Amino acid sequence: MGIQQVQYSFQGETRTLEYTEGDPGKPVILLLHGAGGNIVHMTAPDSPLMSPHVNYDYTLPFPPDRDEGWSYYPGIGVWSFELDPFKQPLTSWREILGNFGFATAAYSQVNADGFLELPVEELVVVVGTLKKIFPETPLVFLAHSRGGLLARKFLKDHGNLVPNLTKVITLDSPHQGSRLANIANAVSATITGLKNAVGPTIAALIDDALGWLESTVTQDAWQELAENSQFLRDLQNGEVPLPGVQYFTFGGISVRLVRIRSWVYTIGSSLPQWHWPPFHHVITLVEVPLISPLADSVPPLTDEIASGQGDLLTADIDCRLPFAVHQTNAINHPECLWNGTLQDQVLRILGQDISIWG
Amino acid sequence: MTPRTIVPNPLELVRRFRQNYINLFRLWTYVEKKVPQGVTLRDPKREKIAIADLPGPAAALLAEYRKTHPDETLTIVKHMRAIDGKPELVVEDEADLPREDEFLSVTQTVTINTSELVRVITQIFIARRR
Repeated sequence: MGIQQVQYSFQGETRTLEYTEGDPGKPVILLLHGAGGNIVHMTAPDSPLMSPHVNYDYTLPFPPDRDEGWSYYPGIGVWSFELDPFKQPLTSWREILGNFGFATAAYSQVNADGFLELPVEELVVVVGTLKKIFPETPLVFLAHSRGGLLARKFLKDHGNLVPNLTKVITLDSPHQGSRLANIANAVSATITGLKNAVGPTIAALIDDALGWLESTVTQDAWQELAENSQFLRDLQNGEVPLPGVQYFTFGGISVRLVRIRSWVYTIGSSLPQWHWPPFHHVITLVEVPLISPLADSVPPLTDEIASGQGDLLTADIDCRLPFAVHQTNAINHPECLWNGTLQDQVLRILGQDISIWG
Repeated sequence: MTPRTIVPNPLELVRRFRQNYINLFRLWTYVEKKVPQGVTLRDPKREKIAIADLPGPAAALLAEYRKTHPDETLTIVKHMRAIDGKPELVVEDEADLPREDEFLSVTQTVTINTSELVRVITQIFIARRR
């Protein structure tokens, strides 16, 4: 899959659109990332450039006990704390679509953590640039999170620019708004409370895992999506689906992000042996009770962070559109960027037979 | 998801002790042919180890055990006192450890730790129970 670049100019700045060629007859998929994101969200979610970097592998079996050697001091209690390791490699949207012969296009949105006005105007330029590369090819918008609202706002204001658009697919986009944005301060206070209840080591791990959640919900990009915000009211006012375009929405209902794990001494590490030094230290990995896993342990202040209802940032019920076919998955918000089940569902929508029998 | 609970396995701990065991009497008498400096090696046949020799908390724990196992006879066969991990007193002869189903260990470790020092005193008593 050759990645090519084309420059475009927006507000006096030269910016880059990356695209890949696909099979003739298959649509080109324009990938729209979410608030605060950038191109790697849709193209390389396991990259160190990915922010937030939260692709924790919380289903990984625990490793065997570890021999830490002999000591003259009894081994008692906690050895260390850690989070689950990162899951790698991940298959990005660009990669999976490319594997199935779809052309793709992706870019980093301007002002990604600010209000949507500029990204919408930029999308006009991006679509124009894309049209020059793929003049006759049908177009699909595949949008994650706020990218779905970017797509809707663009289509409401500039739908005439994309007569070749056939499908709009949004992944965990808070179409009906985010109550999390309305209670951002309460969320911050709750996470701070959780951190205060534990020692500084675990507090730092909670920061690593959930810091992005606090910063996302307080940024302008998310505040604009607060439930009943002026932006959403304006967007919904008179909004109709574009004729000939099929809409699909997805929502997530898992708030499971990561386990807080602790290496602790086995009982045997405190029993002296007939040996010197007498203590044989062996440590075993356990999950820290009460505060792990995150974010299941965070009080469910609102649907977005309630297991079975939200995906950490959006509530499944708010990710629906009256004119869209909706599906729900038990995955969290960042997982939309690499989850295989979701990718299979989207490929089916795109008309791809992904049966294992080929 | 249920957090993992660590449940100690007593037999496994006994086996681990036996695996780690070295007969210091034989090591020093037949292999190295000298007792390391600062270590006192005594013969338990000549100098019997009495339960009364156990330090208070260890003695109390053993007394509690004996109450719940009144039919058992306990004979202490080995004793080691280690300071900062190094043996200072070893009471041991050529005999191996008791079989795993006759094995009993009672130990006590006391420590003191400041920003300038750490001192650890560990006592191990091995008994045969029948």
